[in-house]
Amino acid sequence: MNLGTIVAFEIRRAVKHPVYLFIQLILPLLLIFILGTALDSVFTVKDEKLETVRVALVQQDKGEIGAELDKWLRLPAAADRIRLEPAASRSEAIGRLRNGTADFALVVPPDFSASVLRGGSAKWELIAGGDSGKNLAASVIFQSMLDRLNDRQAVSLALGPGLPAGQPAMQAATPDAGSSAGSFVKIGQLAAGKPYSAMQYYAASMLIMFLLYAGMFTGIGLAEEKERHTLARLHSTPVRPWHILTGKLTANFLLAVLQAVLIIGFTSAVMGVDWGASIGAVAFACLAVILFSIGLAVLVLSFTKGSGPMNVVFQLVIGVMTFFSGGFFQLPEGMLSRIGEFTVSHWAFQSILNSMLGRTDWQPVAIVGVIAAVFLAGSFAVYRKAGYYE
Amino acid sequence: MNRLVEMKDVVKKYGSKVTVDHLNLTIQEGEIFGLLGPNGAGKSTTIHMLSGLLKIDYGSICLDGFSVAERPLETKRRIGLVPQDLAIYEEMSALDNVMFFARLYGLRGALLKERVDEALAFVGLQDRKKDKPKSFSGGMKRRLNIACAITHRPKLIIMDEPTVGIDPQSRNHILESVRELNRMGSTVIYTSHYMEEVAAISTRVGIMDGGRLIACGTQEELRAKVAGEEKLTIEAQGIPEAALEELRQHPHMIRVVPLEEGVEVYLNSTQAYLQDILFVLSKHQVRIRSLTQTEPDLETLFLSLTGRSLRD
Repeated sequence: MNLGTIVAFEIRRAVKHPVYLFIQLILPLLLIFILGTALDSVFTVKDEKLETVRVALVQQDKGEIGAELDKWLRLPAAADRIRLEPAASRSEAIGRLRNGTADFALVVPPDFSASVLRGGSAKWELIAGGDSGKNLAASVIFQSMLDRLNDRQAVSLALGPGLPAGQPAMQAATPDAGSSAGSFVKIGQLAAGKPYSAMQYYAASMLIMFLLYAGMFTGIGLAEEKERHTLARLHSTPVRPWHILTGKLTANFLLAVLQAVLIIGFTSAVMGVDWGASIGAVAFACLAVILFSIGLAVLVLSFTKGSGPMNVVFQLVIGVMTFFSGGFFQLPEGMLSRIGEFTVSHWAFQSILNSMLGRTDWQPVAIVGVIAAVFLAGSFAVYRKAGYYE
Repeated sequence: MNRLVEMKDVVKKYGSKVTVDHLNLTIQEGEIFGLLGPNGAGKSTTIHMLSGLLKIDYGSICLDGFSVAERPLETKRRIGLVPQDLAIYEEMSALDNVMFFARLYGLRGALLKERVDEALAFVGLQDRKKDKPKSFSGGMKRRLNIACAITHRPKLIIMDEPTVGIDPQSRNHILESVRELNRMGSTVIYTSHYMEEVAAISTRVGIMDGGRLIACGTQEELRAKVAGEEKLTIEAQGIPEAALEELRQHPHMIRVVPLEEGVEVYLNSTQAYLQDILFVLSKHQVRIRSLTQTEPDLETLFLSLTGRSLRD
């Protein structure tokens, strides 16, 4: 009975607090709308067909490698992507770029073969045209070829005179000679499967971030009750101590669930966010984040005094976890995103994105559940320190 | 009268510091028991142990026959605690505050409404019941603090320094409320370091110092302990140390307490030795503004027992 009284009173206190309502309901919706609208173009992924690039080739190298290069450039794998148009000089090539009869230019210097055969590095000049897409395609082809040539050169030098430096290098650099790929250009499909929009991305990340704030408000609420002596007064009433703490945590849990329902419902109905078919996974991820955040609040409250430290700790934890999980912006593959795998935000985010993308992968859902369970168990172990007066 | 509170050999320690030292105290039903002592005497710790807010390290406390340690919910039901610090929800209305705490004491329905209205009327906040305490004066907040503790008509009302930091008018209102609650049948424990307040309302007084109960009884019984002393308060400016030292040398002097503007002297008979006192002061060219002879009071007793003033 008293548990219900405490839960009802806590909910009334929260909803009468304009700052709480703004932060927990209005702010996430505003951020989802602003970020989703402003960054929409960044998230729009579409496939573009690669067109053949007309390359003005200024071949000044008459050596062995120059000949090999000519041969390589005329191989079908390269010829699919580039069409060579010989030019007599660098200035002629630039002129062609200017008048639009060429898209890109390659200038092979006269000492190219000599330099490579002497053991020097392979260098040539790439001159970009006016089409950035074609520039990119041609640069990738020539640069990768040059990189392979340099790699091979380095191997030859390292292994000694047994392996002739120049010629095998060019042979190895040709796609037919050493590469199983068959081409330096791998045609992929960027927009493979179902893409997600910026609105979806930020709806998921902001939902997780603001559900984490539920724990912060729980913790601050309890810390303030200690500071304002109302917790002591509650303990002087005929209510079991664990009812007091459980009542306050339950109220905040219910408020966070309501917050999640409102955010998902509003973004779905008004902003057109598709949360996907796995609504069970989304709901589970949300519940796990709420429980994690409340468990964290109890743990932090056990080791800190006052609402100030609680605020600082939570702001820091939420900010760091949201950043590393890619909640503010998409992180490139690598160290940063790997750090994100140690956060609950990452796994909750992946659970929701999977639902949005129509993927069936229960691993992130299971991980977020385990993390929440661990924190909840930890909070049970120390809850006496957090919610008791003495 | 029945024994409502029985404390036996109660000890509370914080680390190596003993805050309450083997306290034995009995409070009868229907009393207004004043617990007097300077700050840090152990009054609040005693009150907190009785209210179930602090664990008792040693000894036992029984309330209405129930052990505070073993049956906390039974004892808490019988107590209305008015804490020293304001313990109200500033963002909720006065009505919400009182109603919330009343519900925690098990009141429901029509009885809840009736008792809440009664409590708010009792503390004079009926007209402001829909207002939030943040718009209240300090005195009004103190009164709301009291209202939250009395809706369930507790057998024992504990008021822990309820007049700290409020204006004289609100103080008088609170003191009158204490008498009224007692007339309505509640036993009251009233702690304070203001001797005048305790003297004005208490039927029995306990004096604590250093965690120990150094005196306990009715005011008459306590005064009798210092019956051989009379106090003469001399109001004067700049009494030199030499004059004070000469007063201390008087063969019948019990105590000399220098004041900011004057001195208090304690003698067996102030009338008999008044001339001696005046002679010493005039010798040191002290200009006397007034002389007041007073009967021994609780302050005198505390001074006599500890050598210190209550306000030290």
